[in-house]
Amino acid sequence: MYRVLGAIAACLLAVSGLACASGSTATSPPAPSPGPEDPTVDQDRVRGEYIVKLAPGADPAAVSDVFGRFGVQRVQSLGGALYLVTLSGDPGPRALEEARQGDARIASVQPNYRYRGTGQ
Amino acid sequence: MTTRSVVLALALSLLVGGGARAASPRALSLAGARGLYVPDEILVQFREGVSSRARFAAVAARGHELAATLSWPSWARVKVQPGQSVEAAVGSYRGDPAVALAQPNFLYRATTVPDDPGYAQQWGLKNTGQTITADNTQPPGSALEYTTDNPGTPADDLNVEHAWDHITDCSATVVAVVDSGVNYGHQDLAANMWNGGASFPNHGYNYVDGNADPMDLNGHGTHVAGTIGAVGNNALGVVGVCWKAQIMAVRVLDATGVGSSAQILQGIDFAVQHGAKVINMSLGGNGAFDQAYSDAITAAQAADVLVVVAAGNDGVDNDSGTAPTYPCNFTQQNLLCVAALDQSYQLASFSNWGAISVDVGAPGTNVLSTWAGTSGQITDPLNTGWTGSTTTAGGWTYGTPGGTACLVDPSSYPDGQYAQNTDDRAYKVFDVSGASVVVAEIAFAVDVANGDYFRGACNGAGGDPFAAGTTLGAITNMATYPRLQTANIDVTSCASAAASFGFQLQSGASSARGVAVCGLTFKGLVTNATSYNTIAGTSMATPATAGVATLLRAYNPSYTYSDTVTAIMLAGRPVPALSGKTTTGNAVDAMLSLAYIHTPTGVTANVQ
Repeated sequence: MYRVLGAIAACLLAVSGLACASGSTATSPPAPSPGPEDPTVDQDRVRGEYIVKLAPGADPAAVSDVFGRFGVQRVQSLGGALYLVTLSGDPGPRALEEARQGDARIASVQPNYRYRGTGQ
Repeated sequence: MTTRSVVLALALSLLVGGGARAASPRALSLAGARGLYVPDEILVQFREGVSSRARFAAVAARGHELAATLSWPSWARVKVQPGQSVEAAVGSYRGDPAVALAQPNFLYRATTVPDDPGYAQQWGLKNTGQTITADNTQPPGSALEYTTDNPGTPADDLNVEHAWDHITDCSATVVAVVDSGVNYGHQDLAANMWNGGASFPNHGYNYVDGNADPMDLNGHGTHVAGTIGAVGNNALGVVGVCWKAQIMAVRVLDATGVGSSAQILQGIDFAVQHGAKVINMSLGGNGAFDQAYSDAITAAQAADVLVVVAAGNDGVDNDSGTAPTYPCNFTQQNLLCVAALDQSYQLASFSNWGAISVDVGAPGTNVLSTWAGTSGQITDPLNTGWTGSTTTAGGWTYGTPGGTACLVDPSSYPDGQYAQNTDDRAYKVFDVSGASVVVAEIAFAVDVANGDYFRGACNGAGGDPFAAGTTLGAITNMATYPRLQTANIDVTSCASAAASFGFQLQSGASSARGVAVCGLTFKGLVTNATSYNTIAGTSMATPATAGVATLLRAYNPSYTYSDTVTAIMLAGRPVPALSGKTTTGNAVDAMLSLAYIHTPTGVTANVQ
């Protein structure tokens, strides 16, 4: 758990070579930013975002029912049976897949992968 | 007949006569090839040793007439029966042991050359062995990215001038650029943008911001659009493969050039639903198989939409099993994946390849095209001018790990460990005013424990950006050391004449190796209607191919995606550098593809 520190700005010109800031204070506690379960794949997917495909006829409420324990912040329709789900945390693709397998209303769940332009 | 024309004629003969790919020549159709060849004549090449008498007999047996023997002794010009189609006439020689090849007598006209002043630098359209200069680069005055084979080899190009003799107007086919958007107001693009009516007055849609303004804030998509369809013969700038076009702008990549599955699959759906028949996607990723993305391409296939994609720029084999690149490695039949060739038709050093996944090659180095605006950049030396603070001891300092100037924390990086329970900050003020968009490119190596944070922040008002400002990103529980990561972050919201940017290392009761920031560049773009750029990438080879596909579908309105793929893949130009590295071994050839003769699938052709 992050611990807020007192404002003890120490000027370290001699050590660092950087100019010294005056009146620098500690910030408020940082917003939660969960660590990736596998840093090597983090660049290839948007953390905390998953694409969910509902089974035919399934109610979109199934998304919150199945994945609600991961902190569903937003559910956006992508057209058809697809939804983009934004979670407050990121338990990782494996955890979501395990959750999906327990409920037939969810046909599939996958990371929201990143792509880049292929100019040099 | 020029040297190139001879080559062309022979190559075509292989396609419709007795060559390997012509093992099962189909009935021919003039429905989509009007004006390409003399309507009542064909050319026949007899096999060596076939006597004049036998030649005459072979021709007469079909009701044809030997009109002339050509200067190449084995060739003859043959008059066909009155009313007989050229397709039928050519096909009638199939299987004749006396005949090596039969083909239409193609028409050549005075070559159509556009008056666009940049055309002389567009080697991909016409390679004269010209040296590509750095006169049109961004930021202005910067060097070309790719120096190999410049100048290159004459005629190593798309062979599009002959195709332009037959068609320059592709506006019958909507082509979607699913990319970083398009500067739809550019002087060389505005007239060729898709008419989206009142619903889409800016010629497309923006899935990055969720609105109907797909303005390009990166430049990449505008470059792609210009290669496909910069206005031709307007005495301005450059020319596209299509002189007239309907370019649909679909923005799925942000100002940093990054997009997601969700944005892309929505973009594909938009293009399909609004009538695009060719989609260009000069993008890629190295993640796992993306089912949702794949399904979107399958849906496009069902709607008869051809999707042209880039092979990727990692210089690797996409089929090795360790580095699939999507969408290139998807397997739908409506997908064409394109590698990049240099000015001598060698595989570009950066280009991916794949004997299974990559289909063709096309010009992809030193490609001059439209750009979204004027680019500029500021690179910080990381050895002066930074203001630092810490709540403990040590903190950020200047270092040279590996001999490179970096901001490091701790000072002993990478051999020591950062302090526990510390809040170390460093920031500097920059003038990044006046740009439409500013992107910070940060190169860093990080090793921070779980619950400790490496952050970036900015503040347009200056001062400590962690005291008051915008957090740009936070990393915890990550170890990339010694590998440098590069992050591109849109910092436009902080842009000002005195904007502060900074880094923070904040720890709890733990420690690790720390952080080194070894690169910091601010890239700005001021959009305008007059900029151009010369860049490289499989991204640039892709629209050359998509442009040819659009040309083909505009010329042959009855062509399906399958017909178009067949014409591009089979009627390409064999290139040794692509042999074994692509499915065809061919470079895209506009004229060969246009002249490729086969019956469009799924329609009843009216054969003359």
